[in-house]
Amino acid sequence: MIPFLVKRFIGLLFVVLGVTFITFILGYFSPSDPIREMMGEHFNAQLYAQLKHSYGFDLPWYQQYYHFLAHFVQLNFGTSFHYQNRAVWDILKDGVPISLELATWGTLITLLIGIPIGIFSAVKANTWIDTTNMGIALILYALPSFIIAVFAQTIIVWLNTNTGAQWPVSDWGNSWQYTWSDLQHKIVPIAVYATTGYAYFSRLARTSMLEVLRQDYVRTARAKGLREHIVIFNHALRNAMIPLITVIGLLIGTLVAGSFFIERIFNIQGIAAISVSSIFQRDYPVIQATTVLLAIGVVAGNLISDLLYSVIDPRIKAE
Amino acid sequence: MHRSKKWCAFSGALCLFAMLISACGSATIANTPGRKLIAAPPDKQILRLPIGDSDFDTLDPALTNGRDTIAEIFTGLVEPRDDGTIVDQLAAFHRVSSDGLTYTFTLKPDLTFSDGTPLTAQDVAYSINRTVLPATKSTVAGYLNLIKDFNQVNSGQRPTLIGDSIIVKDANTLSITITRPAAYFLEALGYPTSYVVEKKLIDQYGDKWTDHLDQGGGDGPFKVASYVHTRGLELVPNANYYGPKPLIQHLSFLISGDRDTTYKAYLSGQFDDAGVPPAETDIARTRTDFINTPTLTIRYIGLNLLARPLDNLKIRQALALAINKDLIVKTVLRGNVIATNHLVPQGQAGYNAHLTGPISEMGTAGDQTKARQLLQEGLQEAGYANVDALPTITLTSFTGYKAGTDTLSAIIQEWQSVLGINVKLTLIDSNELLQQESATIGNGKLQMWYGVWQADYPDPQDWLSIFFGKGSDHNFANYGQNNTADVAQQQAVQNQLAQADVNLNTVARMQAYNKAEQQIVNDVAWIPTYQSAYIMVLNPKVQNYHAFNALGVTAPDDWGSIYIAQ
Amino acid sequence: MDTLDQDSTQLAPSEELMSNTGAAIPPTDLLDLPGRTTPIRGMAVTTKEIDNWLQRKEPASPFQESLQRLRRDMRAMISLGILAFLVILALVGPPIYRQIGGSYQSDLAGPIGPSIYHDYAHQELSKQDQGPSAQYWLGTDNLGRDLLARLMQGLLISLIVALLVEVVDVVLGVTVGVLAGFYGGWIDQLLARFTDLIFAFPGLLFVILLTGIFGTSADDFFGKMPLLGPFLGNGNARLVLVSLALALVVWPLMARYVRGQTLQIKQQQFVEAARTAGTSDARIIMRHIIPNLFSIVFIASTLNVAGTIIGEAGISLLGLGVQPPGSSLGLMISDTLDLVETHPWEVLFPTIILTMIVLAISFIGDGLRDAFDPRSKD
Repeated sequence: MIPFLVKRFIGLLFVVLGVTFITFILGYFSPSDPIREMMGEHFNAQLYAQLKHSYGFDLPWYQQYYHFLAHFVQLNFGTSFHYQNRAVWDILKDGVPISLELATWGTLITLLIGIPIGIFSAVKANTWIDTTNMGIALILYALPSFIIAVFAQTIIVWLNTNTGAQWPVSDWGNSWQYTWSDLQHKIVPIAVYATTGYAYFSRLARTSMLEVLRQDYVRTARAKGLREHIVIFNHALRNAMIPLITVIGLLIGTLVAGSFFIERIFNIQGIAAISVSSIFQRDYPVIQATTVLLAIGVVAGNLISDLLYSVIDPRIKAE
Repeated sequence: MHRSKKWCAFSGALCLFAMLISACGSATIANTPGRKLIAAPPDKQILRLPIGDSDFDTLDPALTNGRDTIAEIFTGLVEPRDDGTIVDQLAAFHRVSSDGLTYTFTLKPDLTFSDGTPLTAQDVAYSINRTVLPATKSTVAGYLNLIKDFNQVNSGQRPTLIGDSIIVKDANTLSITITRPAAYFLEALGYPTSYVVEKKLIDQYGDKWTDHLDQGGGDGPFKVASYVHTRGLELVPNANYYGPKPLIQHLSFLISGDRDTTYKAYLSGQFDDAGVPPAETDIARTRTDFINTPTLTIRYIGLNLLARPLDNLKIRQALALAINKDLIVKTVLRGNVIATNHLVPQGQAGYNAHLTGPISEMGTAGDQTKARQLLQEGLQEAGYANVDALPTITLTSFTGYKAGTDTLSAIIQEWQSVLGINVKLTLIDSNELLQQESATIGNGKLQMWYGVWQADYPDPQDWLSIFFGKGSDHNFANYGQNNTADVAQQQAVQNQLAQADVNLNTVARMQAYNKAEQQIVNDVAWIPTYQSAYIMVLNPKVQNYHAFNALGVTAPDDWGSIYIAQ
Repeated sequence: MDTLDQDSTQLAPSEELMSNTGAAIPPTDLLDLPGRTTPIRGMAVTTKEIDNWLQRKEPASPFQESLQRLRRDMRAMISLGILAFLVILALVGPPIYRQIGGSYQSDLAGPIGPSIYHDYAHQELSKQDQGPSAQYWLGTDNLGRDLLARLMQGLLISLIVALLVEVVDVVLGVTVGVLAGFYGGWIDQLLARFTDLIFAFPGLLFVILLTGIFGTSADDFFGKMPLLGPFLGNGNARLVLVSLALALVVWPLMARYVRGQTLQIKQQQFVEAARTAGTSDARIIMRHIIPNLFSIVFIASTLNVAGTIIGEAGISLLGLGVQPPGSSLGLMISDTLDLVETHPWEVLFPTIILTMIVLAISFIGDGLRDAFDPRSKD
C-alpha cells in the first residue's frame, strides 16, 4: 500500500510541475501583456516601463519561472494582477467552497435520482417506463448546460412577472448556510447542475444493470424461484454498482471544478467562474493557481477511484 | 374613512419632511407634478445597485480604473458636480497664482476621517504623493502627470513630491505646483487618483487595507459596513461626513452577473436599477421605469493617415459619406444610441451644436451619391485606375463586443454596396488592439480600427488635443505628422489646439476648440459612428438619483437628497 | 493515474473531460471488447480453388456479422440516415439554396437575387428578426441575415470541426497508444506520464486558455496560408485552433483505449507466431495490430464527436470560437440566447439541429457498441 501511495504522490508532483510549467509558458508566449492589460486605455510608455520592472517582467523566462516556483512551494501564490489588493490564496478561499457546494449537492441529487431511475428502467426494460426515462435522459444529455440554465432562468422571470412571486434568478446566498432565502437562491442552479449529469448516470446505471441481469448467476437465482426483488436487491444490485462506484470516485475529483456556464449564468462567484474570467483578464497568478488546483482535484479523484476499485474487487490489488 | 388625529399629524409631518428634502436637493426633481411623494421610513431607505459580473478591481483610489463606488467612500480636494463643473469639495476655496503654475488649497475646517481621526493638509499631501510613488504600482498615476517632477518621483529618482511640488503650508493649507499652465489641471485633480486616504490604516494593513475599510480610512458620505468579495459592498452613512448626510441608510453595491442576468434579477426585484440588454429594449421602452440618456462616450472608426489609400482626403471623405449611420443605429442598435458626426459629444462643455459633416452636409444619413463621386475623384487624384486597384483595407476591432462587430459588419456591407470597396474585418484581443494602436504612431501598421472613448474629465482637451494634438501619445491617426497633401493645414489646427489648452479664457477656448473640431471632421481623421447612451431601468421609487447624466457622476453631496419614496 | 499499475481490463475511464458541457465519460464496457483476432488471409490459391471458394456459401466473418447486427438496429439506422441527411445538407444545401428565389429590393444596392441574399454573411438591415417567409425560409437574425443559410453554414463548420478533431485524435491516440502498448518499458512509462499530465489539465480550461491567448494570432497565421487562406479568412481561422485545442484534450483517452487493446492483441497467438517467424515490429504493428483496433477506435471516436460539437458550442458562447461573419451552431445559439423571449425561433432552430446531431451520434455509437460486442448476442 505505502509504495503505491508514494508512487502516486510522485506522480502528483510531476503533474503539478507540468501544469504550472504549461500555464507559465502559455502566459510567457502569449501575444498580449499583463501590464498592458492592467493599464488598459490609460497606457503611458514611461509608466509601462516602470511597472514592468516592478513586476519583474523584464527578467528572462527561466528566472521568472524560478521565482514563481520558489514562491509556489511556500504556498505563496502571489497577488492577483487584476484585483490589485487581493492575494490569490484569498481569491481561491472565497471561490472553492461555493463551487464545492454547488457541485456536491448537484452530484448528490444526480446520483440519488439518476441511479435508481436507471436501475428501475433496466428492470422494466423496453416498457414504456424505460422508453420515457431514457427519452428524457437523452434530451437532457444532448442539451448543453447553458441552454438549460437560460431556459430555467427565463421560466423563473416569467413566473415572477406573472404571479408576483419574488423568486431570485441569480446569486448564491450564503455559502453552506440554508435559511429560506439561501434555499431560494440555491435550488435552481443545483437542479440545473443535476440535470447535466443525470442522463449519463441514468444510462450508465441502466446499462450496467442490464449487463448484470444477463449474467448466468442471475438466471440461476431466478430459476431457483427467488422472488424478483430479492434477486435484484440482494444479488444484482451490488455488482451493478461496481462500474458506477469507480466513476463516482473520478467525479469527486471534479467536484472542485464547478460548472462554468451555470456559475456564469446564475452569477455564482465560484472557482470555475473565477478561473475562466482570469483567463480573459490575463490574470496569470490566478490562472496558475486555479489550474493547479483543478489538476490536483483530478489526480486525487483518480486515486480515490482506483482505491475504491481495489476495495470492491478483491481480484485487483493496488501495487 | 375614520383617521386618528395622530396619523394625520404624522403624515403631515412626513409630507413636510419630503417637501423639505426635495427643496434642498439638486436642481431637477423627479416627482410627477401634482403628486406628493412621501419618503419611506428609514429602515426602508435601502438602495441596491448592481455592479456587473465581477468584484471591484480595487477600492484603493490610487489604483482604481473607475469612479463609481470610490466616490461614495472617499473624497478629494475638488470634484465634478453632476453637470461636470469642478467645485471645491474637501477644499473650502482655492487660488491660482498669476502665472498659472501654483494652486493653493485651503481646506474646510474640522475635517475628519470616518473613524474620527482629524483630516489635515498632511493627509491630502500624503494621498496625492502616494499615488505617484513607484512602490504603489499605480497604473493610473498618469492623471497627475502635470505636477512638477512627476516623472522623477514616479521613476524613483526622487523620493517624494512633498516638500517639492506639494507643499504643506499649515494644517489646513497646501499648494501644488505644475510644470506648465493648463486649464484642465483641476479636472484631472478631480479624478479619484487624488482622493484622500488614511495613512494610519495603510500603515497598519499594507496592501490589504481595503479589506479593513469598516474600521475607517475614508472621508466620503458613506463608510463601509462590510465587504464580502463574493457578494459586494455594503455601505452606511458616514456620521463624520462634512457635507449633507445621506438619506439612504443602506447602500449596497452587489455583484450581479452579466447584463442579461442582471436585468432578469432586476425584474425579479433583486436590484434597484439595471442596464437593459439590447434584445429587450423594444419591450423595455414601454415601461415607466425606462431611462435612455446620452453618455459622454463616442465610438469611432480611427483612420491612420500614414496608410495608403487613406492618405487621400477624397477617399476618406467618400468612406465617411457612404455610411448611413441613421439606418445602422435604428436597426443594429435598435435606436438606443445617437448617430453622430461629432468628436466632442453632446452634454460636454465645448459641444458644437453647429457642427456639420465632412462636406458641410447636415445629419447623419450620409450622402451615397456624393460618396461615389468623391471616390472617383479620389481614385483619380491618387492614381488608381479603378476601385479594384486599391490596396486592401483592414478594419481592426476587438473580440467580445457583439454590438460593435455587428455595427462594423453593417458598415462594411454599406461600403461594399455603395462604393464597391471590400474592407476586411479583423478581430483581435482588446488590449492587443490598444497595443497596436500605440504602435501605429509614426508608421502605417494599423489602417482602420474601431475605438471608443469616454471622457476622463469633462474638458474638450480630453477629446481633441489628446487625440490630434502635436506629439500626443494618443495621436494614433498621425494627424499632422504624415505625407498627405494638406499636412500643413493639419499642423495649423494642432497649433490652435495647443493654444486653446493653455488659454485661461473659457469662452475663447471653447470657440477655438469648436473651430478645430470642424476642421478635423472635414479632414476625416476619425469617422465617429455614434454617441453611447444609458439604456437603463430604474426603480421608480428612487428619487433624485441622477447617476445617468452624461458624465455618470453622482456628486458626493447629492446623497443628501436621494431617497426612496413609499 | 498510473497506467502501468493495471492492465487493460481494469482501466477505469477518465475524468469528465468536458464536464461543463455535459458530454459523457465513455462507458466502461467499451474496454472489454475482445481484439479482432481474425487472421488475415494471405494464402496463395489456384483458380479452381477460387471457383470453389466463390460458390460455396461461407459463414460471415465476425465483422460482417456485426455489421448485419448493426443493420438490424432500427435506431442506429435511422440516426445514420439523419446524420447523412445533415451532412449532405451542409455540403450541397448552400449552393442550391443560392439559386432558389426571386429578385428583391435591397436597402442600398437596388434589386438583388438569391445568390446574394441567401448568402450566410449578407445583411439586409431593414429586415431584422423576421419570421419565416418566402424570401427567407427560416426567417432572419438581428442583422437581417438568412437563418437557413447560416444554419447550413454553421452545420458545415461544426461538422468540419468534429472531423478535424477526430482525425487528430485518432492519429495521435493510435500512434501513442500502440507504441506504449507494444513496446512497454520506458516508452510506456514516458507516454503514461505525459498522458497523465494532459488528463489532469482541466479540459475546458485548457481549450479556453489556448484559444483565449492564441486565438487572434491564429487568425493572422492561418489567414495567410496559401490554399486555405481565403476560406479561413472569413472568421473561420480560429476554428482550426479550436479543433486543435479540443483534440489535444481528448487524445489521451483514445491512447488509453488503444494501449489497452494493444496489450490484449499482443498476447494473442498469431502475434506470437508472427514474432517467432521473425516479422519486423513495424510490420506486426501495421498488419496485425492496427487493423484490429478498428472497432474500438471507431466507436470511441464516434462517441467523442457529440462531446466535440457541444464543446465547440460552449467555446463559441464565450466568444472564442468562430468569429462573425462566420457561423457555427454554437455561435448561432449564443447570439440568439438573449432573444429567447422575443424571437424564440432564432434559438430554436440551431438548438434542435444540435440536439438532433448529438442524439443521432449517440444512437449510432450505441448501435456500434451493441453490434460489435459479442456478449450481447443473447
